[in-house]
Amino acid sequence: MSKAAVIAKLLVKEQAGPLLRSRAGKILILVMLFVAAFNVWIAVAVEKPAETGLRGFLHRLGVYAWNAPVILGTLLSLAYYMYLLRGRVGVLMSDAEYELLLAQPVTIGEYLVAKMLADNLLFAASMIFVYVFLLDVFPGAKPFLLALSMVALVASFISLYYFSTILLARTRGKVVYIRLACASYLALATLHSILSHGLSALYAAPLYLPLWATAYSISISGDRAAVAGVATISILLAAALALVSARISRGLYPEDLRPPRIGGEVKASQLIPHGRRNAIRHVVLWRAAKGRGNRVFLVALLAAPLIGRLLYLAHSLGLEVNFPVIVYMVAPLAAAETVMLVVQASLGGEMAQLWIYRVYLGDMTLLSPYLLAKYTMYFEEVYAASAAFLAAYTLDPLLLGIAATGLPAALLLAYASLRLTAWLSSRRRIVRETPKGLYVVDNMVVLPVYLAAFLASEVVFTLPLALPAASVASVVLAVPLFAWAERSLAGALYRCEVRC
Amino acid sequence: MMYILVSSTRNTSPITVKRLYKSYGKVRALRGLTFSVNPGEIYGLLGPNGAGKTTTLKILVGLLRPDGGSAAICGHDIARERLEALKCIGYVPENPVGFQNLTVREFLRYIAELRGLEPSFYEKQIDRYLQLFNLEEKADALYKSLSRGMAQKVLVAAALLPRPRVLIMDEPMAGMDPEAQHAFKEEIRRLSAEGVAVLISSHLLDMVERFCTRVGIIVGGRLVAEGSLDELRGRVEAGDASLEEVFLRLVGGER
Repeated sequence: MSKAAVIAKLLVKEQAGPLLRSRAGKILILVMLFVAAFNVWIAVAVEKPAETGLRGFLHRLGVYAWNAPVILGTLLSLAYYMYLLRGRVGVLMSDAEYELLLAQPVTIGEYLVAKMLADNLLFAASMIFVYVFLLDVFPGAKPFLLALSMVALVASFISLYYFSTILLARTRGKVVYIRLACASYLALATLHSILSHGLSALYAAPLYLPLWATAYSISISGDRAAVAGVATISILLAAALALVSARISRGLYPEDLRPPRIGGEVKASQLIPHGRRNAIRHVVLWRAAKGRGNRVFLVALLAAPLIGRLLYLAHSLGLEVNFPVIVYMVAPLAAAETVMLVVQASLGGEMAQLWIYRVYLGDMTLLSPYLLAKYTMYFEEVYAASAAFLAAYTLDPLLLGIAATGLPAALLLAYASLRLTAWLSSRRRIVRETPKGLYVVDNMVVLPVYLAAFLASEVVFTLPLALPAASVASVVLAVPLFAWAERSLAGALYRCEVRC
Repeated sequence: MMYILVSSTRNTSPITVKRLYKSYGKVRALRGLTFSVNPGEIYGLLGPNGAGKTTTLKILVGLLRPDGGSAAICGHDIARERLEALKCIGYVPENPVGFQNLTVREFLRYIAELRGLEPSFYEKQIDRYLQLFNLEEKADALYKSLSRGMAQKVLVAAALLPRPRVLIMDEPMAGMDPEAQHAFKEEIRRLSAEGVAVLISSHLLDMVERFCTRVGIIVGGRLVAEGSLDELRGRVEAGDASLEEVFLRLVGGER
């Protein structure tokens, strides 16, 4: 395992190198540690009213420490179930890891343990921002136990992901059995939900323990010893799972973890509309809207009202789950996650291809409105799907207004994401398929936009309830906002020196 | 040690670089680089890794902003008349970065539209280059499914199809099979005979020796030698040495 430690060190250096090497990076780390320490001291020393901040908001929505692990655990575990049902293995690794590192005398087990160690370390380090943020929005939290619980949560999540990956890689060609097992488990959880008139803990089982510890570390109630015990057990279980993953990975090849791209994907070529503006609109906006990446959003958008009505029926038949509350919790998170997705997509796509526009188009004023519209569309789809669900569930058409009130926020988030990626890609050479799509330093840079997306979405979801006219005002506001944003973006893209 | 100086930079030269400076933080990539490429010339820009070749090319196509000096394409200063300058250029970048989810034909059509070409013109050009580079079978394949060499051929075709007056290419033959390399060289020779100015950055010295009409060698962001192969041989008194030997002597002398 000493080799795994060496590899983990290399992976951490590769990811966080710029931060660890530069003086500015070291100063930033020191500042962050100071802010964190100060915030922890404040959290311990100063007693704040418990019902303020996010906790008060969640309580008003009916979310408490006792039901949060099941609700959040279900949502987070869905990622695993989807991964298993999809049945496609994919360890995110850079070309250098694949072609250089794994060409050395290193076992897959050693690589995986190293990868998990590095991921845990980097993820836990970047969580310092979230941690400090949580201390502020959850007054009365137990600061040190919160940190421990979050480490447990991250470790469990990462171990489960790699375990699932190895499982899928091992059963290559027989993935149908994994799918069947996963579907059966979900069917059992659904049956249990119906019989118990509530959301079954079976859905949340994979992450229940660390989430329980996290929930009670930010609650007023909750025994400190129990939280510490559960968090520790979660970490030990995650470590055990990591070792089991390494053990069962024997005999696997690197290509089992990252299957090679098979060439020859073919489709009928289409005519590109004549005229620069038409061509750009077609390729940048319409292709993206109809593309595979957006299909998930579109399906969610179309299915949202149907699911809303079905879940309302389930609720009226006795399923005691407050689904709108879940949507209110999840939608801001989904909008924030969209920031991460669009930043990665923009870095790998638009910014990597920007040279084409800079050389063959020169002027960016034709590109920027469609680029902005495309990224606004992604954010807007999150709001629209949530609005459609809520309106269908409650039969309150006023809630459809969320789609409209979200428009200025979606626009500004798209603009901020694109400006950020333009700046990022001018600061460093774009590396395709980095382990996380982004280096840890970039993740830190993106975090303010991530938090802004979360907070802006919180506002979006409260506006229509208080102010019906907000929908109209938002649409009116969006027009000059778009005009300003596209001009500003065009200027930024023109000036940006993308280092592709 | 300066073996030659820099040729006169006539205003008529399609590519003119004068005292170009560029730094990345503390790293000085270009330090007063000067050279020009005349119509019909195939100019090979050589130099060791990190010499500033790619930086020079990126400045010429307006991707990077020079810190000092000037660069002009077809008489248009790239900083002040960027759009006009870019209208003259066909560019092949160092890395084969293209639109992953367009087919090869769609990709070429898209580039043609960005250049403001008429479909009646570019459809013929696209067919011609698909045939020339043996890409006909891949015309409906997605760009992301192409091998490195195939992607390179598509980017070369994209650069050639508008019939630019200036071609700027960074390692244009990287990954290409011998057949495609031959077709590429023939096409470039034909275009140069028509007066197109070609600037190629490459490490393939054998290719540069046989293919380029003039060579410039840069080390540490400065031009240390320039001329035809015979002129360069004369500078280092190398008899009938190959370009590789001449290059090694010149670069070695500068280090």
